[in-house]
Amino acid sequence: MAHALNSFHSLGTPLERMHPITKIVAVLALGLSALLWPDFTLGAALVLVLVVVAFLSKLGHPFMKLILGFGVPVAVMLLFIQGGYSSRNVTIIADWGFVRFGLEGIEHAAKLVTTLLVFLGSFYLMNKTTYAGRLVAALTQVGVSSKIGYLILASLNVVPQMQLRLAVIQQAQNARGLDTQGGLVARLKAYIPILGPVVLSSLTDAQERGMTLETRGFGIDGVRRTSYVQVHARRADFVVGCGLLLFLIMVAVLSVMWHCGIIPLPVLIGGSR
Amino acid sequence: MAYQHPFWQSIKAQFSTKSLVLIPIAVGINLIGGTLCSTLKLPLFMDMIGTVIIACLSGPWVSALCGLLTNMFLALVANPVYLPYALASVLCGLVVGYMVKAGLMRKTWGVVLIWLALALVNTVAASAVTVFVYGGSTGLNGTSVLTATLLVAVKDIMISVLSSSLVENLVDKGITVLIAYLIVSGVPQRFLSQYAMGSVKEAGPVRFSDVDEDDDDSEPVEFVGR
Amino acid sequence: MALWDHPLAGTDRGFEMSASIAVRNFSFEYQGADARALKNVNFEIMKGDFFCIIGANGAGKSTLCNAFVGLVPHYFSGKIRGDILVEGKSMRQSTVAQLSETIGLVFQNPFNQLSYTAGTVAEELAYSLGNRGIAYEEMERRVQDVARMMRIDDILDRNPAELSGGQVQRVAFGSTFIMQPEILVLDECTTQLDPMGGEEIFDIVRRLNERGVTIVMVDHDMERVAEHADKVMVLDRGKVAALGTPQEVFSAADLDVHGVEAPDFLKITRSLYEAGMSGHKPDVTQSGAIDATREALC
Repeated sequence: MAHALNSFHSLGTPLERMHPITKIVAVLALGLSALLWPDFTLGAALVLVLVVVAFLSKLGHPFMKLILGFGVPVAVMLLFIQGGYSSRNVTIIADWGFVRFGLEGIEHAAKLVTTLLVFLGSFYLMNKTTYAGRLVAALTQVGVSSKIGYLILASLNVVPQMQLRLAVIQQAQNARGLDTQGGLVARLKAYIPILGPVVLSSLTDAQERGMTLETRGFGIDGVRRTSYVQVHARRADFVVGCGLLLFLIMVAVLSVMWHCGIIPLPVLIGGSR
Repeated sequence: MAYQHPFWQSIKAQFSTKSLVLIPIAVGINLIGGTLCSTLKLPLFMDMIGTVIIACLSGPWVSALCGLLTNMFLALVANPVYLPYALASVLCGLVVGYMVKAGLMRKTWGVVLIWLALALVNTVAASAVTVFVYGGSTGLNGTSVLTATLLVAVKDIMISVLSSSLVENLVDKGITVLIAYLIVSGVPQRFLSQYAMGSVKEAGPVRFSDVDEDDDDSEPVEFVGR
Repeated sequence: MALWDHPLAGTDRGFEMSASIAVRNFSFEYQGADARALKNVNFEIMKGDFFCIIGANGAGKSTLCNAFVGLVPHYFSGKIRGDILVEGKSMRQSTVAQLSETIGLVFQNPFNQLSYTAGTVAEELAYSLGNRGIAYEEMERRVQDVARMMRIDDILDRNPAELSGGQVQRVAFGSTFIMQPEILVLDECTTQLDPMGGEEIFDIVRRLNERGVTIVMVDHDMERVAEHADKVMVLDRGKVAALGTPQEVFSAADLDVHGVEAPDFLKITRSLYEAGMSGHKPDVTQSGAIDATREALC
């Protein structure tokens, strides 16, 4: 099953064997927990957990590249934008003349960045460790329409094919002397003769592919679909899924209690919201 | 059989197999449109050509789904940052779809109207995502730097994000709509006529023309399909 | 059930019972087109026959093939009259999916006959079974069976996107045949393949026909049609222009009027016969041509 539809390459790690639905639950549970928690500390802790999981799943290096490549610039921009201009700013901690940094804005920026990184990182890990066919088979099992499944898989399969076709036509048009190097107007004019043929041939193909789907029973209603790709939920998948949901509920309850002032949490900087 | 609202039924009718198979293709057009832009070093996005084309063929809701899937695909293979912008893509699909349905693609002023509406909807929706999901920036790029510069001048996050995005969108969506229009005009009529929305060109009257005399035309003719 | 056991045997209906496909006053006009693609077509195809349809481009061959499997009018909209009975089932009253359990279609472009949902050939073959909710064990059994029959059991784990046209076409045959249809409709299914790939496909078609599968084939290779067809039908501008054995159809004087060329073997044997160099009557088969040539040379 190593033949990839998406960017999936089998590395034989435990995360790959995990049930796809458990992984979807994980992305939502972790992300929402980071979002609900009053400050950025939980998000930061979860990012660290994800880094460990990534290294255990032999994805450490690309994962760090994503986290740093996205996290650092966004952190810089958001610290400037939110730290300097957020409407929540009360406590001014630095004044550079054209911009005055507020503590509340910086805290908000930190919370935003860590929450984004939790969502991003867990989504990335799910995507890299899940064979698309298995994901769709699992989704179909829990009752998601097979048409949605088709759209996900077909997009993943068709797009690379179209990219290849685009490259071929681009070469052919170059060979026929189409100007793709000249000024802005010349390059803009080159756009249609390259894109047009790909689009038109793809549309005609789509019509024949629809014929194929119809004869393969795509349009049958009211039948519970089965799949050649077998996905079995193991005990461990169930336990992990429940554990994550429990974690989310706990975080939600604690956060609500903190908001209502029932319990004090060791919140670092005032907390947002 | 459960009662189904006519509006819901009309949406369901748009998702025929014929239309569903167009969606992956339209997602592909969105993506290669963007790729081609960067290989030709054009300072544009052009990532909605497929959404506009499918709006012309299959209607607003199929177009909206195409927008959603485009962003899901980008999130899966490129960067998860694109996912929240699906909101903007979905709204754009709906707006263009309903405007095409109203027949605006057949008139020059209609096409201009579609362009302006598309640019405006995308600006507002995408800016809302940038501000409310990402707090104003998604990293170090041209738009973010422009936003930051404007911010220093006007000191309002929403206004800065909006105006830096509006200028780009007006140019980008203008060319997008123009290209989509040219491509749909190039699609053969026999293909177009198989689709519900199928007309940029006016369709002629439907008739059963036949010059042969030996045919028995006395039986009633039935119309099958939609 | 044997034909003579049937209560209707011997009557007119009894004749119809042995027809695989019965086309009745069938006309179709595509939505938005300005002429009919098929005009009042009437004919029958017998069970187990190797039936070939020939004709010029735009004669309505593909429309007819699509109508056999119900794609016309359930997928391609338009105006329809008459009906086609497939193993007694009205194609107008049945869905394409229902018909596909009786009649399968393979067409020209192999790459448009993939579902684009499968990461492996095995998944591709099983796709139509999954849509019908068939259990995994049964799926696996049928996938193995059909893979052996189509000689693709060595590529079951490969990604369909990486295969050659000939291989993909065999996968398409497998995906169609996994529904165990009694009739196979082949619309120029070897045209886009290299000669080797085309020959492999045609070999499979012949073996299926020997096992009792009714074959309906649209082909441009007149020699092949003449050699293997039980019946040949010439379609011209949406109408049946001729129908009979290859010998009858190709010997007709007005063949070229309908945009069809006679097989080379017939041209050779005819010119030898007319020149008095051979006693063999004009013949459409390869063996006939060889005999006539041998006689002329000796």
